Amino acid sequence: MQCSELAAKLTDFIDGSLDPAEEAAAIEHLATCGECEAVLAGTRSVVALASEHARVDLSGDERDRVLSRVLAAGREG
Amino acid sequence: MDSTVRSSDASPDDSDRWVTGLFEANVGAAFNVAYRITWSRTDALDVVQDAFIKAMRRADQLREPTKARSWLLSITYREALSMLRSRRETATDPSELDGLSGSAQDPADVVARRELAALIDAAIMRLAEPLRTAFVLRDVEELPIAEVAEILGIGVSASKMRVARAREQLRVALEGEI
Repeated sequence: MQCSELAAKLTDFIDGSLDPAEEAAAIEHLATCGECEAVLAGTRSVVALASEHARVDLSGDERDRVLSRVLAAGREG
Repeated sequence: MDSTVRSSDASPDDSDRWVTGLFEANVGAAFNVAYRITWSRTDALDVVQDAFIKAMRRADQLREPTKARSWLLSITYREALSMLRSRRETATDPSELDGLSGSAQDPADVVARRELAALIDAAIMRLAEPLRTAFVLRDVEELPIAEVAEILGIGVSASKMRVARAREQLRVALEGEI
């Protein structure tokens, strides 16, 4: 596998959705290519940080207020 | 009554239970999608409210109860885009960063988490909307790519492309910071 091929398949590789042969080829390439390995590590960090830090939550009051308005709208028809 | 199914002759109580179940299960994801598109907490709350009201009024259109989440989020997505179009400029009140999640108790840790969250927030904000929404659905809400495609109304390949481009742009933007 070449660097450009890995770049095109990086999302599937990270998401674990490559077929076994492609995954093996990607792993083999990564073992010998420091640049691709760095890109993979950086992209994995982005994915991990996003799931941990990028979520925006509603407060309990906001949830209650929105739900009560939705239910009131439903009763009005 | 199954909270994922609502029949056309549902009683008001059944309807309340149905929409409350839908709300409890999906309001967090809906708010994230709405906030990342409108970039305004106030607008995102309005979008979420309108999306659930529309969902309730269109409940009969939900043919597959197992797809309630993607159906609701696709309504939210369209509502948020509509809100964006109707607004001339986006609001970016820095105080809204207070809404970012974080449960650490150590003050130094809280500061570090907020700084990191703010960095990520700013980088996500710089993404073009189509990439941003795909990224939020896949990597923040962690939905399967097929569901992301359904919500956005595009193909799986196009969805993967958007996620890949978003991840790459964020990686470059955050290089040296993380």
